[in-house]
Amino acid sequence: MKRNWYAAIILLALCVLLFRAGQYVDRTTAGMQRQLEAAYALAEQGDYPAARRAYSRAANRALRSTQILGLLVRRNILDQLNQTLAVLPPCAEADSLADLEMETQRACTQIEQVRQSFFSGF
Amino acid sequence: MISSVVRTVLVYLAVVVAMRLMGKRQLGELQPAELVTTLLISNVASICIDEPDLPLSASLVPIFLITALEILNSTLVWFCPKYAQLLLGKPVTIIRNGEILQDELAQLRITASDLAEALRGKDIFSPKDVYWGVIEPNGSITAAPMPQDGGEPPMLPLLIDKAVYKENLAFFGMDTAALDALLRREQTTREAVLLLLYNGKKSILIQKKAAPKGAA
Repeated sequence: MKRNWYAAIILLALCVLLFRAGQYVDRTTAGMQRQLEAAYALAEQGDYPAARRAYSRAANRALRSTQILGLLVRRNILDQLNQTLAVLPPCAEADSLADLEMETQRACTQIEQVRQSFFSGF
Repeated sequence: MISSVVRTVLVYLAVVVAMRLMGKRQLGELQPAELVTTLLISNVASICIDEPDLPLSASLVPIFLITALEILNSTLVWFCPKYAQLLLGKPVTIIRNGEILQDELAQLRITASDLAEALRGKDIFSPKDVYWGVIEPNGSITAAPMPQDGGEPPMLPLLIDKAVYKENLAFFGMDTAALDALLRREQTTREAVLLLLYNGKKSILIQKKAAPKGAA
């Protein structure tokens, strides 16, 4: 009967791990999304240096999160997201606002894909 | 490259731990549910080695989930004979007193040559030499040899953990009422019996069921 306890402990550990992992993915992606929206709002207001800094912070945060997110979601989605985030700071210029909007949208969609990679049911 | 080495080592360790947790049942001849578990674990384990793009958790979580489900399922099988019968099936008699039961063979979709091959694997070259032959739930054949002159016939099960072997009862000209009468004479009941064997010459072996260790 000892094995039943092992099974119960494994199930419990899996539930806790998945729950904490879900919380982490949710919190991280929501945070990245908020950072991107804030950075784009700064660019729209014409404060391009602050927008560049905000986009850089978002890119660095995503890069740092990749190590843990890489254990939970598909690696290629994270690589695509990091590539998109890397081109955002140089785009925060007055003459490339349309590109910035498009790339920000792309990054938001990729963040959503990261979420779906973990949370999708089937 | 380093990632695939690390992944392989981790998945190897996870599968070894999983098989160890599942116990020796998993290493012997596999029942249908155990075969499914083993196949699933081997496939799931290879996923993240084959596809470095997938996270390690895509293999590790399912491996341990399947392990836990297999342990709980085997416990349920142990506690509930009816569920065990539903999940694992029941042994089917195919040779009785040297005679092949062809209807059962057809039902099991086993050809005569399959049967002959299985018997040869047991060093038996004629069904006439078999007193009682059964196909076990895991697909293997078990054969009790025909008794030698004057020898005692082999013991056949009449009752194993509440499961009544009606065809063996019928073979000895008994029914469930006769079985219950036999148990009453032994001052016991079907529920209290783990194993009841009989060979037609009133050789009976009854083992009382012991309370499982740790059970309330």
